[in-house]
Amino acid sequence: MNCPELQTFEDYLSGELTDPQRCELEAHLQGCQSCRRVLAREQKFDALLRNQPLLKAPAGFRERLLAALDVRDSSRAYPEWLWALGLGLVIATVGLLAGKLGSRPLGRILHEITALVSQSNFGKTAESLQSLPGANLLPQFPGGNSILLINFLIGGVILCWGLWQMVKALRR
Amino acid sequence: MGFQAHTPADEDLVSAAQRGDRQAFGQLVERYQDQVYDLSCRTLGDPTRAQDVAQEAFIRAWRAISSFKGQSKFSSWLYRIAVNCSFSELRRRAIPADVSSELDLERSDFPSLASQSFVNELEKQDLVEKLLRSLAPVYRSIVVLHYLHGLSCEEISGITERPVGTVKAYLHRARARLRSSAEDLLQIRESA
Repeated sequence: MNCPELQTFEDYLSGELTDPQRCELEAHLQGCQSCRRVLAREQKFDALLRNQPLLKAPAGFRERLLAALDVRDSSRAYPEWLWALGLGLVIATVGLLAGKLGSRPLGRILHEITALVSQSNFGKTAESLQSLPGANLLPQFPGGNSILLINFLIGGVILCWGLWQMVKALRR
Repeated sequence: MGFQAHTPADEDLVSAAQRGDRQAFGQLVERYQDQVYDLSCRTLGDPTRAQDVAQEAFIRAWRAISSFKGQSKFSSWLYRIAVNCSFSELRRRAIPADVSSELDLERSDFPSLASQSFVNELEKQDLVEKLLRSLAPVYRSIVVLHYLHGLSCEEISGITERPVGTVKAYLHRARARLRSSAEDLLQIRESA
């Protein structure tokens, strides 16, 4: 083995060499005074770095941290999923109501779809949905423009995310 | 037979903390506060900011503890949060993480070294502290994790999300810089 590079000595001291690599280096060191001197120098430098004591966290660090957790938790008294459910409901409701009040080019398209559905095998389901309270809103939705439809969809997505987070939280 | 206090394992404390046990999390804080503070302080080179950053790291850990799945050691997971918090702080202060500062180190800082070795351990610590500050923060954090906290290159690779080979190369470069800055003062040449 030729005299190894400096990094090999560093890896040796850090225990990062494989067993065969370590054995090979140790065998080389037996017969190479120059490498033994390099190793001794690196050991000295290694010890200087490794023997540094850890800086201590300031006194009362833990107590201040736990107090900060209390403050932050109290400002987040409601879980994220509850905020998401509320926000989703608000956005979707705004979209729905604004759609009912607005002009209705998209509403007509939905009318067509509703009519198609009512003639299909799902007609009974569609009819039963129309008998539900508030169902009179549905045929006219979104009635406004595509922005309002997007509004409703965003609300729906946030609502679904909130529901998903709620399920995850309850399963924990 | 003497009484032996039961020291709960990290895994048990983490499980309890995941169920919302604040006391258990407090024990984890007690166990790792020095490591997190030391890493933040040496990476940032600012004890006051380091305290805030260490606190922020634990707060983030508490909030995210339910997402910890035990795929790595808790300490590694916590170290990763602490490293991220430290680098976020550097970015916030517009300090580049990969640029070294000039080493402002004179023999006159250590008059006792000119002719002989260190008088005491405090002088050594002070010198190492100055040497570390000469490194760019990204190198500094890796050197601290490896040499001062005793983590392997593989563990550091997981914490810093860099390949093991990159971690080794960083350590080698950092060590070369530290050595060249220090060897005269430390008298660690072969002749010493």
